[in-house]
Amino acid sequence: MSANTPEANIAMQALRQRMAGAQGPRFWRALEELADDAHWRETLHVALPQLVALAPMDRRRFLKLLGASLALAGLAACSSPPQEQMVPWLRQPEGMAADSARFYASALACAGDVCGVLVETHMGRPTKIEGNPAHPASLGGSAPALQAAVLELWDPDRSQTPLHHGMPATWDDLFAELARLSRGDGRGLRVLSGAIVSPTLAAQRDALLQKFPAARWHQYEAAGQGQTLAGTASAFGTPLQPIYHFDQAQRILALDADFLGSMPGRLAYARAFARQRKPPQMNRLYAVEPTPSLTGAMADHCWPMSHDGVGAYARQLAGVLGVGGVGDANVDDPSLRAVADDLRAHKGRSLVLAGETQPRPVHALAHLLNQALGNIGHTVDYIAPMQAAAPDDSLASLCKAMDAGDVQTLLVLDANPAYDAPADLPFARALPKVPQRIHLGLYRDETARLCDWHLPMAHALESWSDLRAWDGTASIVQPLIEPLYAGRSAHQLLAAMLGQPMDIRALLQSRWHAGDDEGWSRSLREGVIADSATAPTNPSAVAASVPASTTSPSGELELLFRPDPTLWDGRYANNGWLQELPKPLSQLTWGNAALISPALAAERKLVNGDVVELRVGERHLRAPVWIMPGQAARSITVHLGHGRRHAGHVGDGVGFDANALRSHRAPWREGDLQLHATGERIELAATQHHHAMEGRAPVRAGTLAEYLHNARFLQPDEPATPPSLYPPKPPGEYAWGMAIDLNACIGCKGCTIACQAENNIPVVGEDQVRRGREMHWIRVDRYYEGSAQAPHTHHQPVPCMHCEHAPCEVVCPVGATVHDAEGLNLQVYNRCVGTRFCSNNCPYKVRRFNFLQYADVKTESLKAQRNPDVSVRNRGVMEKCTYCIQRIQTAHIAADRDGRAIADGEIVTACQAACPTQAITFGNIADPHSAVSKAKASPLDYTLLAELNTRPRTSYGAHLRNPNPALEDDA
Amino acid sequence: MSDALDRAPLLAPGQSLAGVTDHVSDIVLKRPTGRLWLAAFALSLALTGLLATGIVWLLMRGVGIWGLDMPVAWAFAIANYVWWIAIGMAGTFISAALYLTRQDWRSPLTRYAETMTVFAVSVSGLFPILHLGRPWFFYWLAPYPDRMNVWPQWRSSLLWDFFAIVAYLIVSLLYWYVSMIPDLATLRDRAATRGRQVFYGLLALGWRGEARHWKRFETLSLLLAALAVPLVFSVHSMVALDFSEGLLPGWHSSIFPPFFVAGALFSGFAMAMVLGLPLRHWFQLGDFITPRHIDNLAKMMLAAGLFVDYSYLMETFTAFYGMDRYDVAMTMQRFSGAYAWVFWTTIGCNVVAIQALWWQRVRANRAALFGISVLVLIGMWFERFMLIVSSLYHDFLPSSWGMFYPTFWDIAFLAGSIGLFFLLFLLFVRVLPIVSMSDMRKLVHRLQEPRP
Amino acid sequence: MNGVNVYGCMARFDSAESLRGAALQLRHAGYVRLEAYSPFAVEGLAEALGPTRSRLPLLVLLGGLFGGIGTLALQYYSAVIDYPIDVGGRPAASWPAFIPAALEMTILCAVLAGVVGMLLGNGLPQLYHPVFNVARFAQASRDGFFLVIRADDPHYNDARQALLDLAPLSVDEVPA
Repeated sequence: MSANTPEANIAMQALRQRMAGAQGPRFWRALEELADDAHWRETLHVALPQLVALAPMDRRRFLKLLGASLALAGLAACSSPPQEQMVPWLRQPEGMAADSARFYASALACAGDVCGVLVETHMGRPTKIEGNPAHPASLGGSAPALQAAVLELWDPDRSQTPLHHGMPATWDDLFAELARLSRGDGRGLRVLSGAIVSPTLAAQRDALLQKFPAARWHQYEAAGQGQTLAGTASAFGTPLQPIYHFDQAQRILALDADFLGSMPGRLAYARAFARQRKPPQMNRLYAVEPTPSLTGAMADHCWPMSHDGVGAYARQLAGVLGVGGVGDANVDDPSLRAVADDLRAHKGRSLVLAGETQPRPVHALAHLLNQALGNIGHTVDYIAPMQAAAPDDSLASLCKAMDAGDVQTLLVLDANPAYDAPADLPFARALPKVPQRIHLGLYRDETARLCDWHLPMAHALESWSDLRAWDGTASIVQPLIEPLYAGRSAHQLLAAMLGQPMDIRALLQSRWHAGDDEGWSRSLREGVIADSATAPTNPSAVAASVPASTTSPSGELELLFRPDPTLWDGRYANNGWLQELPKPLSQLTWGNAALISPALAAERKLVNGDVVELRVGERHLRAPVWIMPGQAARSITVHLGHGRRHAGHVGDGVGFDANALRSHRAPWREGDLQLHATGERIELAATQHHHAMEGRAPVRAGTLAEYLHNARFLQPDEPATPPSLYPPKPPGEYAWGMAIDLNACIGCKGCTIACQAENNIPVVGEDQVRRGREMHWIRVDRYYEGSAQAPHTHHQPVPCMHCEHAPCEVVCPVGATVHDAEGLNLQVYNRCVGTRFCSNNCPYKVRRFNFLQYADVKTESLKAQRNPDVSVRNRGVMEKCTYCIQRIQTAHIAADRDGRAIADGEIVTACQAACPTQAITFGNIADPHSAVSKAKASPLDYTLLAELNTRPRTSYGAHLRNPNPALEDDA
Repeated sequence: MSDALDRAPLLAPGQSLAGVTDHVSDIVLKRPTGRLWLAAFALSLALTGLLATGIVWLLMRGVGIWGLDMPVAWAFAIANYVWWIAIGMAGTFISAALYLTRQDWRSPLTRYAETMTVFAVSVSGLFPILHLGRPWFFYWLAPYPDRMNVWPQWRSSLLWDFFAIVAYLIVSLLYWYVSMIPDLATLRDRAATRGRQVFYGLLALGWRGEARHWKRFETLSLLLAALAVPLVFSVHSMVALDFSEGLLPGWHSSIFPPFFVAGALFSGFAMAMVLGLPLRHWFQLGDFITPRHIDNLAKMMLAAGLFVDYSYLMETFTAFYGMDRYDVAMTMQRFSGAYAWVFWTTIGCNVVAIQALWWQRVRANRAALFGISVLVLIGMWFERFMLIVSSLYHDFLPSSWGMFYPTFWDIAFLAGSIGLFFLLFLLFVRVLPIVSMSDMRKLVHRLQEPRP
Repeated sequence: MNGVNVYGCMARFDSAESLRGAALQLRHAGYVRLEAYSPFAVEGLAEALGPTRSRLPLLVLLGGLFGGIGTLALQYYSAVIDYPIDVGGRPAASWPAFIPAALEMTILCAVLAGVVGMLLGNGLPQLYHPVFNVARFAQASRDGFFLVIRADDPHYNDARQALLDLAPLSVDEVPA
C-alpha cells in the first residue's frame, strides 16, 4: 500500500494535525474516532484509493489498514525515540551490526542499588538490556531485575493517565492544585520517597525543603541499607558506605552477608570474587548464615546458625582475634579457631563482612575485625554514603504525624508503603486522615488507590535522570523512547512544584557538564560520568564498645525476613519474567513460602506445601512451607514482595504478604515465633523436584587440594567419547561450542532471564509451571551433596548441548530439527509438527514444547518488546536454545560485509553477556586459539552424559572447593 | 490336553450348505433389532460423542489439555495407540496365519476377527495424528514433491510407523472386503427389499461364483494371507521401534519388536474372546463357534501371554546382567517407584491371571474366560503406559525428573476410543455377515466328504 | 430355437461332485463354452471346464518389486541427491534406516496389484449378467450348483439334450 501520492501526503498532513499530541491509548482512540468520521474516510480514500476497493469495510478492517498505511506514511507513532537528544553507545557490542540494533547507555536503580546498562533498541523500541561493561557496578554483567526492566516498560498494566478520585484528569489540573499549595511555607506538606540515589533528585529535594521550610521529606525502603549505615555509624561514629575489594581478598568471612545475591554492587563483587577462584589460585570463603544464600552456596565452608548465632559467632571470633575487648580469647571451638587462624594468617588479604540483615553490633564487629586484620584500605574501603536519611525522617515519624493529623498534603514519589510498610506502622490506616494525597508511580498500586491523585510515572527508560552507583560513580539516565503514556518523571513533578523549567535534560547538563557539550555527549555515550566515583575516606575506628547483641533463648523459633531474590520488595511483582524465574536456591516460581529446615520439618512432620500458621504476638498469617537444606534448624525465612493486592494482572494475589508479620524496629528478624500446621496443603510451582545427583555426577566436583595433586583427577580413565560407526564430519571454518565454568557460576539465573528476553520466550504462568511446562531455554539446575543440614550446593546452567550426534534429530519424522554446517542443532519451527519424540530422546531435557498458545500475540505493547530477530513460536511446536543463532548470523553478515573472518569473542550469546562472573564462554572450537577452545582444554573440562556418545558441543568445567585443611568437618 | 476336545467336531452335526447360509444371512436380513443392541449402541454413541467433543477441544486449545509435560511428553495417547493397533493384530493373524497352516477351525472366526482388526486399526490411527502438536500438518510425514524440496526424515521410526500404519490399514481393509465379496453376493441374492438388493448388489460387484472366478479368488486369498502374515509382524515391530530407537533406559532394547508382537497377539486374542463369546451367545452361533474353537483361542492366548511374560523376565534380567546404571535405576523405579502400582497391575493381569488357562475346566468356563480376557486387555493397556511413562519420568538427569498426572481429557479420549470401536462393531453385526458363509460352506462340504 | 437372444442353457446339479462330473463329461463330449457356478470354491472345477493358468502370482511379485525398489529409490533421491542434510551425524544414505518404509511399501503394492488383478481377471465389477435372469440362479450363492453351456458353443444345438442326459435337478434356458 503506497502512500506517496500528493493526496496521500495531504491526507497524512491532516491526519498528523488531528493526531498531534495523542499518545498511547489516546492515539488509538483518536484513530477509532477517525474510523467513524465519514468525511475523514473520504479524504483517506482519495489518499489511498486501495482502501476504496475494500469498501464497505468494517471498523476492524479499516483500522487495520489505516494503521498500516499510517506506518508506511511515516506518521510519528507512539514509539519513536527522541532521536535528536539521544547519544548512542560508543562501542556497539561485538556481533551487533549498528543497523540491526542500536545501543544506548543508561542506568537503572533498584532500592538504592544502581547499575549501568546498555539498552538495545530496534527501530526505536527498547527490546533488551545488557550490562554496561564501562560501568563499575556492572562490568557487562546484569541481574534479573535489570533484564526484566524492559518488560516493565512495555507492561500493559502500567497506569496511563493521571487519575483524580479515579477519574481521568490532566497534569494541568494537578499543577493548578499544586500552584495553590505553593503559596505559604509548606506547613503540613510531606513528601515520601524511596532511597534517593539521584543527585539531581537530592538537589530538588533540598530546593523543595528550602522553598517550603515547614515541609518534611521522608524516605522509606522496605529492604534498604539502614543497618549497614547504622553499623558503620556505630563503629566509626559517622555513617559510611563500605566498598569491598574481593580481588584483594584471599580469605573471606561472610556474616550472613549475601554479597553475591543482594548487596549493592553485587555484580562487581561476583566478578571479582569469581576471578579469585581460578585454580590453581583460589580464595577461601567462610559463611555463617541462618538461611541459605547464593553466597553461602558458593562458600568453601558454610555453617548454618541462627540469626543471633551469627552475632555470637562474630563476637567469639572477635574475642579469639582479640578485637575491641569483646568476648573472651579462649573459645574452644576448633572450627572457629581454624577460621581465626586462617584470617590471621592473611592479614590485609582477608575480609570480614556483615549483611544488611544483621543488627548494628555485628556490623560494628565486622568493621573492627577488618581493622584488626589490617584490611581497611586493602580489601575494604569506606566512602561517604550517597543517601543518609536522618532517623526522624523515617516512615514511622510520618505515620505518627499523619495519625496526629499534622499532614495536609502527602506526596508519595514512586513508593508503595500501603503495601510494603511493616505491620506495626499504620500507614494505610492513617493515610485517609490526610486531606490531599498525591501518588506518583508506574502502577495504580495499593498506595495509589488510597490517594485522591494518582499520577503515571514515566519509566526509567522513558525519562531523563542521573544516578549514583554504590561506589559513587554517576551516570546519566537517558530516555530511549518517548513516554508511551502520559507519564512524567519525579524530576518533572518536582520541577513543576519548584517552578523550575521542565527540561530535565538541560537541568542535568547544567549540573554535570555546564557548557561542555563534548563532555556531556561523552557521558551519554559511555554511560559513566568520568571520575565521579567517591574517593574513600577510611576512618580509624572509634567505637571502643560494641553494643551487646541480644541472644534469644535457644529452642525458640525465629522468623527471618528477606527481600525476594527476584521481586525484591514487591515492586516487580507484576513482571511475569521475574515471577516465573525460579528462585535461585529453592527453584520456586510464582509465590513465596516459609523456608524451614529439614530438622524442623521432621520434628513437625511437615512436607513441602503444607500450609502453616505463623504467629508473632497477635500478628499472624498462613503460609506454605518449603524444606530448605542448609536452613538453620530453628530459623524460618519468609520473603517480602508477594501477596500484592493491586500489582496488576500478573502479580495480584501471588504468594503471601510477609509484611503482615514485620515490625519496623526489627525489620529482618522476629523472635518468639509460633508455628502451627493447619492440615491444608497446596502445590507450589517448583521447576526442580529432585535434588540429589543419584551417583550420576552431572556436576563433577572436587577440592583444590585434589586438583593440585592431579589436575586430571576428575577425568575418567577410558576415553570420554566412545567410538562411533559414523564417518567423521569434514571440519568446517566454524564450529560453535560453549564452555560453562561451574567454578564461576554463582547460580544467580541472570542467564535464564537474559535468554528469555533475547529469544522472546513466553511466560506460561503458575499452573503450567506446576505441570512442568516452563519454557526457559537455559535452566540452572541445583544439586545438593552431603548432609541436608549443611549441604554442598552445586549450580549447573543447562542450555542445549548441540550434540554432534544429536539423538533428537534422528527421531524427527519431518526433519524439523537438523544440523547445520557449523555444528548447530537447529530447530525449524515452521516445519515442526510436534511429535515431541525429540524431547523424549533428549537426555538433557533441554527442549521446550508449546503445549498451549503461550506466546501472547494479542497485546500490542508486548509485541513491541519482542526481539525482531527471533521468531515468536506458536502452540504445537518444539523450541530450545539456539546458541543465539540470530547473533551468530548478524556476526556472519558483518564479517562477510567486511570480507573477514568472524573474530574470537565477536559473538556473545545472551546468557554469556549477562553472566556477572563470565562463567560462560562461547566461540569457535575449530580455532584452537579461541577462548572457548582454551576453556575446553582445561583438565577440569567434561561433557554431560558423555557415555551416551551424543558428543555435546557444550561442556562444563568441574566445580572445585577450597576447604580449610584444618577443618575436617566437611573438607 | 483333553482328547475329548481334540476329537470334538469343528461343526455341530447336521449342518447343511443351506443351513449355514440361512443362519448367518438371517442374522442380518431377518433378525429384528434387539433392545440389548440398542442399549449398547446408545452407550457407544455417547462415548463417541465424548471423543468428538474432546477432539474439537484439542484442536482449539492444543495437546496441553492432556496431562503431558516435560519430561513426560508422551503418555495416554501413545498408550492408546499401541493398545489399539495391537488389538488389531490378532484378526489378521487368525485369518491369515491359520489359513496358511490349514487350520480348519479358523473358518467361523475369521470374519469378525478381521472386522475387529479393521476397526481397531482405524481407531488407533486417530491417536498418532491427534497427538501431534499441529495435527493439521500430519501429512508432512508423507513424501510428496514440494516447492521447498522438503522431504520426510527417513531415519525416524515415527516415519516407519507412519508407513506401517497406512499400509496395514489399507491391506487389512482390502483383505476384509475381498474375502467378504461372495458373502455379499449371498446377501444380495437373499435380500427381500429392493434397497438391500441394491446395497449388497453394489458391494458384491456382481459376484456370481463362476468356477474360474473362484480359482482366482482362492489364489488371491492365498497370496494375501502370505503377504498379511509378514505385514502383521513388521507393523508391530515398527510400533516397537517407536520406542527402541530412542536411547531412554527401558526403551533402547533389542527385545522390543518380538516382545511387542507377542503382546499384540496376546491382547488381540483377548479381544477376539471378548467379542466372540457374546456374539456366540446372542446370535446362537454355538453350532459354528464350538467349545473347541474357544478352547483353541484360549490356548493361543495363553501361549502369547507366556511369551510376553518371558519378555518381562528378560527385560529385568538384561537390565541387571548389563548393569547399565540407567537401566538398573529404571527397573528399580518400575518395581518401587511412583508408578509401581502400574507395574504390579500389569503383572497381576498379564502374568498371574492367565496361569488359570492351564486348566481345561477354566478354558471351558465362558464367564472365567471372558473375565480373564478383560483382565488381559486392561493389563496390556497398563503395560504400554508403564513402558512409556516409567522410562520418561525418571530419565538421565535427576534435575529434570517429573511426574505425569492424567487430566479429564486423557481419560475421555481413552473411553471415547473404546466407544468408537464398539459403535463400529455394533453397526457391523447389523449389516454384514459376522461369519464367513463361503468359508463355512466349504467347511461343511469338506466335513461331509468321506475321509480317505 | 434361435440363438440370437439366448445366452445359453443352464442346468442345476445337487452337489459339487455331480457338477464337476457333469463338466468333465461335457468336455469329453466336445463342449468348449462351459461355465460352472458354485456357492464355494470347488476343487478342480475350473480345471474341469478347460485349461487354466493364472498370472496373478506374477502380478503380485511385480507389484511388490515396484513398491520396494521404488521406495528405496525415492529415499535415496530425496536424502542423498535432492536435499542431503546432516541429521544426527548419520550418513546421507542410511540404508538400514531406509529398509522399513520400503518393506511396508513392498507389501502394500503387492496386495494392491493382487486385488486389482483378481478383479480385472474376473471382469468385476460387472453388475449385470444374463445368468441372473434365471430365478433359480439365486441359489448359486446358497447351495445351488449350476452348469451353463453358452449359446456360442459349436454344439449348442443339442446342448439342452446333453444337459438333460446328465440327470440335473432342472434345466433352464438363459435369455441374453
